[in-house]
Amino acid sequence: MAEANIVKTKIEVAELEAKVSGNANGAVCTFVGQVRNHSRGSEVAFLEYDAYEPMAKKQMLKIAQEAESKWGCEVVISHRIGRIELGEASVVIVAGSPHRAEAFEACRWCIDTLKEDVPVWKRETRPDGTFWVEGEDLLKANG
Amino acid sequence: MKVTVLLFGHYRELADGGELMVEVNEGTTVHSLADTLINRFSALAGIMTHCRFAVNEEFAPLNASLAENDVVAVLPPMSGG
Repeated sequence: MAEANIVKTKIEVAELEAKVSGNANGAVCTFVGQVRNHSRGSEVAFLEYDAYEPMAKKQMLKIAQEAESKWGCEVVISHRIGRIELGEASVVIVAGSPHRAEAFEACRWCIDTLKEDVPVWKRETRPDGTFWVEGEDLLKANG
Repeated sequence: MKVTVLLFGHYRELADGGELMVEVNEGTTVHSLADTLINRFSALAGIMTHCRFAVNEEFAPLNASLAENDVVAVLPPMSGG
């Protein structure tokens, strides 16, 4: 059963994996997006994620449901918002399926689609200030 | 009639909490609401080319008609994940 959540605390990957690890599944594929210490040639100190929460949750659920029907798998997506430190997970997608090909495909399609269609934005804090990331653009943040 | 406009990304900093109440005529579309916003706030000049829009939490085309109390979100290119 597809599931999607927006959370403000650490994402527990094993708990999500357990949701798609029924005995009928021979494969569980997990994608973890985590905060990287550099971006576009600059160091990054930490990220802050902001979301249009109700719409983001709906969009993530639609993506999980669509992946389930396309690949006959089970999908759970969790996105963390607020301040996230280096190396911590910002998004986790788990896909469980009887065979591995479907789980890999579903996982990849979910993260690619999430990046396009889920209303979440990040702000990067770097040595030269804090910037909103909007697609390819970086825009200086005021606060 | 009144609609609520929600601003996101760097546009959020333009209004307190990123939220505006806007008075528009009956039958206003997303497109004409965007024009109204651009006329009122020069900082929003880029939204027509730069942003997608949602009405009541669903993506909406520019020609979508608005109703009283609709919530219209201005969505710059996303950067989740």
